[in-house]
Amino acid sequence: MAIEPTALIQSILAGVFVGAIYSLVSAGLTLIWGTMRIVNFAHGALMMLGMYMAYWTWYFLGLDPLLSALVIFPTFFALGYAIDKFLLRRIIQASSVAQLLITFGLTLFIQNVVLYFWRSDIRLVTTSYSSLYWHAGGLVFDAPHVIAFFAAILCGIGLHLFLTRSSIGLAIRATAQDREAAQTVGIETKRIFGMTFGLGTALAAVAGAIITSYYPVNPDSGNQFLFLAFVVVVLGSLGNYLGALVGGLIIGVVQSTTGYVYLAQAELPLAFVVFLAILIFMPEGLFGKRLRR
Amino acid sequence: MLTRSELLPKNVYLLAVGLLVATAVVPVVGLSNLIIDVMLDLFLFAFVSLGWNLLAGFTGQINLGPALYFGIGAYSAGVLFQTYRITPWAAFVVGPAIAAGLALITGYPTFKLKGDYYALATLVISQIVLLSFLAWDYVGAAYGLSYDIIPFSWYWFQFNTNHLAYYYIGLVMVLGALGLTWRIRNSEFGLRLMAIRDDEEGAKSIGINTLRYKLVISMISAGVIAMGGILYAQYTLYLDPNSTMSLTITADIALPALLGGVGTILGPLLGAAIIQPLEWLLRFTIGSNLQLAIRGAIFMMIVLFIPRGIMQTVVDKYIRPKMVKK
Repeated sequence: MAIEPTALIQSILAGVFVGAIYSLVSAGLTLIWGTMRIVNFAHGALMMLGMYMAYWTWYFLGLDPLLSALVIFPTFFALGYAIDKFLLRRIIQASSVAQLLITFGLTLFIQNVVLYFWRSDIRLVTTSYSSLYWHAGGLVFDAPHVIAFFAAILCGIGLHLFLTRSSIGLAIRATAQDREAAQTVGIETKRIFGMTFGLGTALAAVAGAIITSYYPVNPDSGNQFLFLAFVVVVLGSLGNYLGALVGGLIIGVVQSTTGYVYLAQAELPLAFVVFLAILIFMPEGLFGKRLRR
Repeated sequence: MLTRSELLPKNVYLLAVGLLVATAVVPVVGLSNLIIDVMLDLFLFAFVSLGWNLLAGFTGQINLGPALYFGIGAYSAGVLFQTYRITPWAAFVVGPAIAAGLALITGYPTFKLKGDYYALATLVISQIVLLSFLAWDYVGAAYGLSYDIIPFSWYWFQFNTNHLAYYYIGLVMVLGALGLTWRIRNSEFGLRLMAIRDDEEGAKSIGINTLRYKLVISMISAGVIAMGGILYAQYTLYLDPNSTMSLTITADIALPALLGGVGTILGPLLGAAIIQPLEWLLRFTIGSNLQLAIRGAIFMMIVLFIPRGIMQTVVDKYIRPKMVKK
């Protein structure tokens, strides 16, 4: 198969567009993992819940997913805060495996309750720009992907400003760097854990919401993002949200070009092999522990 | 310190022997097919959970990809029978051998990883194999393998007209896995494994090659889980990657041990004896989705309330205080 430059560029672009979504999901996961030291298995399920909320607000109120994201963010922040308060706070000192098992149980719970109520029907939001696209230089830009991409970039910038400028953001990063030291200087780490889990959950839910205009909603929708987020988090160095933002783009592009150059079915296994290679050969990831130490 | 045998009254042994005789004899007298099938599932998942517990219990390494070995076992039986018309009994050699080989290859790099990283790595490895099987025509890809049905034959390992044969094979397998766990626990090999679990650096410093010990027990564990996959294949008679290698199967394998007590001999059996009948009941009454949701809740409650499992919790609460009084 000959590789055409325009088609290759097109697939790289597709990778960047979807990669920005991976970035957002992974930034949430890496904040939780880096700050609370909890591998949050439920991240994908919470993202899926965000997608459903976007779908239902569109279905009943006709609200565009980009607008409902403004409501979804605080809602899922509160949900994440509550999950931490009632579930995770009790096991913050337990073994990492216990924490992994509890979030695994939470995933099973959420997914199957959703499956029970809404079945595995595939649902899609149609917006005014759903079938809109632009041509430029032989390339095709379809509106849902482009708009979701810019929304994700905005969220990424907002996250960066929040974590570097606000006092809560600074406290989150301080706790991630050194829990004991943060406590010593008067940071209430328990409250920070709640904030972190709320923020991470809200990021996943918003990322889910803004892609509902092109990504079908069903109870399994979050799974692929969860696994890829693990890859991105390890690639971008655990706890490093900037690493996750960059890593998401890298994985997105690697995935889409594999699909173009080689085989679409190879996209996911390849990402997993990358994950294992990083874990084994460079566990610090691409960007070291800049945020943690 | 008192040994466990001194702690347990003699009645407990009588009770155990009684239960065993009952499980062996009662089906002959007559049980409904439904109960035999529930018991069969109970034996199967007690067996694979005992296998998983060999690694998790003796070394503390939580493997989140045991469904991979389960699937390997199931497919080895399926491919031998369906593709080559070789007796599925041969899978008891082929399946565990492939599973142990995979455990060796994947264990070598992953045992260097700590706790949750190890768990994640094993999870991802099982996903890679699952995705590969979905695309691999030799094993039927996403369509899977359907068995040609044979009514009743010892040679072809199919007992469709009378599930009692499966029942007794399952019972023998569970007893074998219990015996294996007991033997390892009381061997020098087992003692060294537990030393590694409790203090890896300490074990290294007295000259134990910790990696080699972990590899050996993980190979045994993988082989046992693969044998469970064979039994599953022979009575389900239909295999596809999602029903044999998915996370649901991993949960099926790990949950009995987690509930009963990781690292105890009887824990996985006790856990399966609680979980399997409960899940059958729930599936029939409220449907499989809510049943799986409840399974999720059980996972969370185990971690929150009995993180060390039923067996250990009972020992800590009721048996250890008695020791102090003496």
